[in-house]
Amino acid sequence: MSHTIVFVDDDRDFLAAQSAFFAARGYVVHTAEREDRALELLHEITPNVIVLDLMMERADTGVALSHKIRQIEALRAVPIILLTGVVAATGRRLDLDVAALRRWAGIDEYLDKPVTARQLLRAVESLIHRSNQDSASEEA
Amino acid sequence: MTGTVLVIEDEYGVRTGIEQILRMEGFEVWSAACAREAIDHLKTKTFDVALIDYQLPDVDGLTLLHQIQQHDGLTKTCMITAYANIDMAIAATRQGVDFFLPKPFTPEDLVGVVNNLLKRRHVEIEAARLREAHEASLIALASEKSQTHSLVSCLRDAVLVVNAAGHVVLVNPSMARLLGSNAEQVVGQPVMDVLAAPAFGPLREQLETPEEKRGVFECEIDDRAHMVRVVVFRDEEGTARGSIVTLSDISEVRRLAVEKSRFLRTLVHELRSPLGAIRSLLEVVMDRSLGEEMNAYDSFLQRADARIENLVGMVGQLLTLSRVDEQRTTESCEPMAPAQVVEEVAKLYEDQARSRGITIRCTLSDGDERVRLDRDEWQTIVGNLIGNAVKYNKPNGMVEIVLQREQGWLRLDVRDTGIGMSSDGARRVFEEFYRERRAETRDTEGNGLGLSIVQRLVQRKGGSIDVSSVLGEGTSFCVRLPV
Repeated sequence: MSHTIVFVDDDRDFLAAQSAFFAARGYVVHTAEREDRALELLHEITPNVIVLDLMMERADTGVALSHKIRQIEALRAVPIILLTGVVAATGRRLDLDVAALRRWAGIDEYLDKPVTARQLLRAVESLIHRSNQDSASEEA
Repeated sequence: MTGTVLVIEDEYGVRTGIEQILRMEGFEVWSAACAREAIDHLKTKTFDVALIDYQLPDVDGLTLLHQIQQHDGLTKTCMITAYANIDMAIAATRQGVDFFLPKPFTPEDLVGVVNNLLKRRHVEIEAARLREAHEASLIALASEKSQTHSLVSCLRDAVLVVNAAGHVVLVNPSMARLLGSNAEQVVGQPVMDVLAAPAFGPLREQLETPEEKRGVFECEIDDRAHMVRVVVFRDEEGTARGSIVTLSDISEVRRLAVEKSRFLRTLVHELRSPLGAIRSLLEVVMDRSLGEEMNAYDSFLQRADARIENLVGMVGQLLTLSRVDEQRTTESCEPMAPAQVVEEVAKLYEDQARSRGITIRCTLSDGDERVRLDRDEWQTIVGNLIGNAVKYNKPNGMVEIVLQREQGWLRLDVRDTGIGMSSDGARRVFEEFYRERRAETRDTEGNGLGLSIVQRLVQRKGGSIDVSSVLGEGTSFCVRLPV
């Protein structure tokens, strides 16, 4: 069975490239360039993973959107990856209190842009694996 | 001991006798037979001692005594009299005579009296000199103190001086403002009471810290950042006499630092997004995600190339921005015709405009008149404004450019009938990297630096730039430059 991913990012080129890369690996890819479009999409489908860009219309769009997604019953357990940034030189996260965000916005994984498609693929695979295990243990 | 002595004696024998005795002792002696003659001498000479006969032919001795004292308060006086009557003695003493010499007297008596008086005069002169010197130094001290006081008073930095006992001895107006009280209320009070407000907590701690462990630190007072220094001051022996506390308001420095860091953060994001996109586009090609047929990757490679082109443009703009900030633009300032440049730039955008049915209309009432303006900078200003007016226009829209002279100012208006901006957008349009993210701007390339550059160029030239915009109807920019 193929897995479904939703990418939310305001960079059209990034979306086009991720679609091609993940489609080549058998994923069903949906993309949205805006917050409202993403919410519409997520009411229609329940993906296996959601990838969100942190900065879109506003500096914290990704976080706010993640919080909203978690309010949707069907999406409570769907893994969310937030694409964000660090300052390479200091290695310090600039604007995020990771632990607080994990609690409030239910974000499972953070990746720094510019992320490679392979890094993203590894993160997606491991999150899908984990959620499969979680649901298996719940059923047991 | 030598000195000058004035002898006033109407009896010739007595007078010459006194003269002789004193001369023999080495004194310089002047003599007078009456008060009038004595006064004539006083006009030309200062005397150490005056010997006055009580009974003179013209005025009495007391009157003359008064006149001599008026003339030089330090001249020592001695009354010579055969009538040692008590009334005269009381009157003369009241008037301040220094000594009485009753007739008859021996030469030793006379010399002894004169020497004695001379000694007193020298002591008094020395005392007067010391007093004057002391007064002069007091005046100097007072003026130095007042200079220091004015200096400390007009310092923008807040200054507080504490003595060894921990009491406040000086507070300048800036410090008084921070303390929220006036200096008089504070001076003399224990410093820990004066600095009781929570905001001064770090400063109190510092005052209690041993000197060698003290340092410069920051503290927030009245919502403003202050740099605080506590320095111990010592006397000449090296004993600590107290502490000087200075607080410098560094809010502005802080604000600039925050602004710079915000700029860098935005810059990082602005670079990371296209880099991320380029990397993903190339990964698709390297991964052969779309199979082995290379034509399938054309659009990915073209997009990567376009994104790189944009980055190159942005790097160039950033360089311009930093040049403007450092005032390092090449100000050739050859006289040139601004209208001509506007025309040239408008022509550059004609094709782009025509392809979307946009009309560019120029009204250049400035003609060929030349002004001293940097050609490149003027080109940048005009290019950015016309470029934006075309870029953010609607199909079949209009760009109207008006250049005119307005009482020593060059005025350029660029109006478009484009997509317009929200009021927030119009307010922030000159911020670096600011772009309104809307569906209509999604496909328009831009980095949000052009108008920042324009604004800085205009402001650096002493000009102004204003914007007004109505969402969905269009935007107009008005630039005024002094010429």
